[in-house]
Amino acid sequence: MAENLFNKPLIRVENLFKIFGENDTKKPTVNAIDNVSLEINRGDVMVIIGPSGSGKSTFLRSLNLLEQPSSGHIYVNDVDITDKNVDIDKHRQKMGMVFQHFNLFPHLTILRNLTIGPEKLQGRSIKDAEREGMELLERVGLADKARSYPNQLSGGQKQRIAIVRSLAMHPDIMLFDEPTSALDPEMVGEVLEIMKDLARSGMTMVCVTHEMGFAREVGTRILFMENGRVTADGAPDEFFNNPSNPRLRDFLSKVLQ
Amino acid sequence: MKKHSSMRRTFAVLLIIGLVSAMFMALPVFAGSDGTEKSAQTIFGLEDLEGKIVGVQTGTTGDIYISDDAELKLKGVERYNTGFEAVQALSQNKIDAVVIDDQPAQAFVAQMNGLTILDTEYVKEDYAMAVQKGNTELLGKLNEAIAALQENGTLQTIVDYYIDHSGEGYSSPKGAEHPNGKLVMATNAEFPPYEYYDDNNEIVGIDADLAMAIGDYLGYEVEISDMKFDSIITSVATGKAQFGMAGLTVTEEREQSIDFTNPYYTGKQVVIVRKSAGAQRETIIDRFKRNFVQAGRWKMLLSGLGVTLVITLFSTLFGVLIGFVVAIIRSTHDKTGGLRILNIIAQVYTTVIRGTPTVVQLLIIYYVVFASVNIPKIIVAVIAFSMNSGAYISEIIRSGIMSIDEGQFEAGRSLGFNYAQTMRYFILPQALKNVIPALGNEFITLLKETSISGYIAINDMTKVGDVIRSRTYDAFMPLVTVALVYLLLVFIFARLWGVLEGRLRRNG
Repeated sequence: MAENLFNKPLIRVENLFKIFGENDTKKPTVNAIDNVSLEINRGDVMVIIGPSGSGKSTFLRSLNLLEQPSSGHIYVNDVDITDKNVDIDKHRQKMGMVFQHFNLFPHLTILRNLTIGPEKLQGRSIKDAEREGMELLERVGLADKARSYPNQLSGGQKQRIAIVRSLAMHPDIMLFDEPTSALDPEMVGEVLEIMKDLARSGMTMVCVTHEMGFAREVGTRILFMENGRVTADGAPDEFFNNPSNPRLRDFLSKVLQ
Repeated sequence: MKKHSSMRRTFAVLLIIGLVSAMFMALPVFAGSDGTEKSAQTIFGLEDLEGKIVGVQTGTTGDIYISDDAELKLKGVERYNTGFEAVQALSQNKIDAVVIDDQPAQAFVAQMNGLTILDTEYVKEDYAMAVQKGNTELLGKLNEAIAALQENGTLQTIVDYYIDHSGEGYSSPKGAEHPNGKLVMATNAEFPPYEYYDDNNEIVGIDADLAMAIGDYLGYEVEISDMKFDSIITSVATGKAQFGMAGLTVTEEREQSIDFTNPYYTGKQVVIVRKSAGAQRETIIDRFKRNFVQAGRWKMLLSGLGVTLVITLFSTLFGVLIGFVVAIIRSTHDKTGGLRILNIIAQVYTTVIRGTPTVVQLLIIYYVVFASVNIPKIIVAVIAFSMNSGAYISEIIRSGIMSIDEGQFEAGRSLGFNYAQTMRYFILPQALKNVIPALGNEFITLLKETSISGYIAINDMTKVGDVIRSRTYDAFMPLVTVALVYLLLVFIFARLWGVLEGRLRRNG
């Protein structure tokens, strides 16, 4: 890979707005994302924290246009994906997404959940896709579940499958939308372990979470959002040990109790 | 173990069906013996009809006259689809008298015990053929033929044969040629001796034979189309049939829609009343034989069953296709806002179909949409039932699509599948699995709904039951048999569908 590619940010966000209720004159509009501009570099593990309703998930979901931004630009590898002429489906293949509620395909086996994307979208042979699918299942310790269906799995197992389902597409970046919030407490650990492994392997990650331990341990950069704005952005050390923003201090004191 | 218990359940259900039908079989025997004791003749003249209920066949001359007749001071008029139904209601004490044409009245009274015809006739009337308004060419030819056949005695030969049972009747002369094409004759073959089915399943009678003679005289082949009496005028008016002939009396009201030829016969409307007890006794087995074994009538039932199944299966097939497309259009619009025009069309379609009776849709498709197109009636029925079923199926499938969690959609899109692929690989397979029970239910509904096919003169199972009834003068046996066949079909289908459902459920 050429050196100059690494110097450029993987994702560049410019003056992003998401305004809810624009078309409804009866209700006041809400700026879910209020003029956010930032860059995400290769290898970044960006953790977004903030009170509920601060726009964290909306921001994350707008990175692959699951939320259509009201205005602003998102450049992925220098291509403006908010441009109507860009094939967003192509870009989404390279942007893995993990949801709070897993969203596995219940009518397909675990292995098929992993192979259907590579086979149908990337033209890989079933054999090839299955071989790699099995490797990924080994990696998360669930190879014995290949022929099972999602409803036969625990929440933690489902989320591990959801992560490798995205990885099977060989993404450049992984987006995590509160991946442990819907899990029973005893299952949070197994999912975080996989995410930590992934971070250590150098995957670029953006993660909305309430897991401060995870943020501190593997995050390379922490974002604090409130009312649709990014009001703090820094390395974990100064962020957690020496927060300058009073509301961030207030937030941390509540969640770190 | 499991298999054993399910077999036992099947057996139990069959047993219940058997018991219920046996109960039905026993019922009319009691009803008959009960009814006959009370019925002695109480009406001897028209003046005795005061305060009575009189039955007629809908749309017949009897209906038209009696409904406007204030002098009789009737308690009410009951309208039946066929004269036979009216006569049957009379013999079952449901009504007090029936006003009907003289000739069929003679036939009914001869076949059924305990009935008699009043000496005073109710009205006299002229029968004529109906042709489309303005078709003066055909009208002229028919008038010419009627005059010629009256002249040469052919008409009298036919009348003698059917009324006095004398002579040979009419048959086409050897080598009769029909170079001028085909004429479709609309009739209602439940009207002996004018038109009815004989034991060879062919429509015969004074009108039928006279029509044939006219065809031979004019060089036309005559095809007889059997339908409800009140559809005859419409058929002729819309050109579905070239002429109507069913003991049609010339009335001013009818002349608004069609033109009449010169009368070919003068008939009388008479009154049938109950005379005395006399319900005939026969065993269930004799009765069964009389209805189904005699004249091989079981073959008719079988062919009716075939027609019912063909209409149902093809309508289901096309209904699912239509429903699928409409559901995709509507849910795509709901999810993405696209396909606006198609969505409006789809919405109008489902609203109209769900908001109007199926029978009306069937009649509109036959008499309005395909008024001037000559296509087989079964295809018309398949089109009507497909369109009808499609609207319901589309709502079923749409509800299935809507029941799938939005997260499934987002998961598909976030992997890079486009809208159509996401639908195809993730949403529809789950949606269809969810709606399997509702689709089975729709199939059952459709199977039974096809029983209205008789409205456009299709001989489906229900219509065949009715035809048998009109020939054997037995309502119970053909109708209950038809009901049991439907029940059995639904039962078998429900079992098969249950197996399919179970299999799908096991597969995750």
